Amino acid sequence: MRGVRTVAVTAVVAMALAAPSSWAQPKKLVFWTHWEQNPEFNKFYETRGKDFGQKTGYEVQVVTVPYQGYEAKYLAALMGKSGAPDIFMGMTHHWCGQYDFCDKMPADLARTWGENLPKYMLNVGKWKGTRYGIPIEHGNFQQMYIDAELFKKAGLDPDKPPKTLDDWLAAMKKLTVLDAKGEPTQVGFALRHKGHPVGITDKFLPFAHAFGARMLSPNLEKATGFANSAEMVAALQFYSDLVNKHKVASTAFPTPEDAFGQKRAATIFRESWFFGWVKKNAPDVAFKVYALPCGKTCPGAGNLFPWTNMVAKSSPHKQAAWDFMKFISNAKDDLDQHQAQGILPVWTANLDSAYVKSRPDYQSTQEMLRQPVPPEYYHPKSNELATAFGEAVVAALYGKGQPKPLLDEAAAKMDRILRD
Amino acid sequence: MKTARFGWLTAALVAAGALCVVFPLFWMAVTSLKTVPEIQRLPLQVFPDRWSNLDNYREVFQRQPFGRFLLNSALVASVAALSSAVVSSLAGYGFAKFRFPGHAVFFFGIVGILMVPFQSVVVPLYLWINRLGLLDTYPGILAPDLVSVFGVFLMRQAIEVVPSDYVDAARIDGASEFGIFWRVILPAVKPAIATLVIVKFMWTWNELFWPLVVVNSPTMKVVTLGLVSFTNMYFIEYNLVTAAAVVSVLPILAVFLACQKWIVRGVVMSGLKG
Repeated sequence: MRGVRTVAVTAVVAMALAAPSSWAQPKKLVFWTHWEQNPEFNKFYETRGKDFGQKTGYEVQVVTVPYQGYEAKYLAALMGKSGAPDIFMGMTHHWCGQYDFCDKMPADLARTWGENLPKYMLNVGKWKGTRYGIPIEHGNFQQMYIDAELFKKAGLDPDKPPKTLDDWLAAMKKLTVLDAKGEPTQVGFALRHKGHPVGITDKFLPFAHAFGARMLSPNLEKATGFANSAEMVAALQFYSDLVNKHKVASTAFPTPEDAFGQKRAATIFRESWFFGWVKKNAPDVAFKVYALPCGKTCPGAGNLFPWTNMVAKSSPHKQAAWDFMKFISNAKDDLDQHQAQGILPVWTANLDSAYVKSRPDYQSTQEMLRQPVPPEYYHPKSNELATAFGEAVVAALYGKGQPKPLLDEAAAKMDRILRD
Repeated sequence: MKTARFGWLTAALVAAGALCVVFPLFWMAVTSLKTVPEIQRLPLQVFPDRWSNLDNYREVFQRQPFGRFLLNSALVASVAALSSAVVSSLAGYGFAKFRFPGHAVFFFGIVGILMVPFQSVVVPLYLWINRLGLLDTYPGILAPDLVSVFGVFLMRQAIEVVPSDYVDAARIDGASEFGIFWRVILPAVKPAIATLVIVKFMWTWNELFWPLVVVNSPTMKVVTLGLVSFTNMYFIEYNLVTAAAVVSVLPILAVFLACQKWIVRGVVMSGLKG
């Protein structure tokens, strides 16, 4: 009995002692982000927050929320209001479109960002024409990474990457090695076939765009006639043929990143962060980065996940939060913050900086930016829509149906989501 | 002869089952000793190049206050287990030995809570905890775990089989209701209490979702939050996540080995799996 009492008293004392000190510091801007992979980038907010604090008395506290389940935490907190962050990172069309949690960006700051973003990012951070969010990630579009050694082995010149989808398919065939049973032991293309359908959609969209297809109507109100258009059907046929007909990609392979890192796949389409991953995980892979090949049109720099920083409407420190955002909204901070983490800066002025020029994806990024801006799907229900669409792509990859009926079904489902 | 052959077959099946259970743990442990390129290397290699490679463990503790996470988890899981044992045994006693109007409805109402997914109550719970000013505190993390519906069910089942004659005899001897509970009921259901404490400890130790929602400060994180910090939206750091998993599984493994008998009994009593 005495033991139990001792444990209970110890627990209460420990709880009292361990209460976080942040509760005692009212002049703090709380910043939530789920970018766990970018600790240096996140630390920058606190570092510059100290400078900001000397002028205003407000410092910045960064809370890194695990990506798994961050939406539940955001939702609970932003609905709870008083337990919510002042600034938070996420997708504008979700948090400001599906929910009404965001404060409108002051006009002068919105103008600053409008004048300094690459053209494909101009709509990132906007909802219904109004700017709420500050785009924080450039290079979040897929580019073509090739394994130079495997290219050479197949008799291909790694300095002359395929520029069209036809040339690309021909190269993929040369890069694929089949075993005695006709199954690939090495594939030309590392294809994403597992995981959440949203991710599957994300990886398929460059092909769809290269075929001149789009997932939704330009006003984002309709899927039928777009998600199941003749161009989309042709794109999905081409994509599923990579696995089922040409066998230049395989659903038996692990994740595309692992297949590329293990030299079992000669190309992969991935974003600008990927070269850091290859350097760390597969340092003996000699890779080069190029713009994606074009079909009827070029796929261009587009993405499904436009990450931005927003200010919570319910924040009692809204003004200070915007002032802090203004404080770090300049070319120097943009470059310093992104360079610290080894990722691409956002401001156009920085796209030709020495740091960016020294990166292996400099040329490819420039080329991608010269391509036409692909369709955007910044709809509040983009995740649900991409899930419905991705399920059709997965089914086609695994030979569970023909592209046309699968896409018809997906389009109907997407229209229901849009109507609800 | 037939029996001997059957015995061998049984032993082989059990050994195969044991291998299936142990192999993931073994793979996790050896992976935690490999460098990142070793993990990617083909053909896959079972053993690390260097058995003494503890770099991943060092990095886990350098990147995150993992010691603190372990301490937090131990504290939260212990308090939750003890609190659940106290509340559940009292409630179980009430349901097992007292008859009152709506007794059955009330009991099945409580048990029915087991069918409500936690995700569906997380927002109102968060609002409530926020209003109480308990966000990012130990009481906030603990609040939903202080009472266990499963525990109420378990203790009611265990107490019900204690003969009511004992209770009546104690009452005739002048024992108070609490005295009966303390001196007659509790000693008779010690195994069930031990089972509840252990199972609840393990469940709370493994919990991710609620701590994720309610915790903000790095110092308040529990071990599961530390583990997921090595996965992100783009990739999983297998070398670090396996090292962190080894570290986080050791305490629970110790508890399991020390209390194996009770856990097995608990599984039998409750029909519990997983």
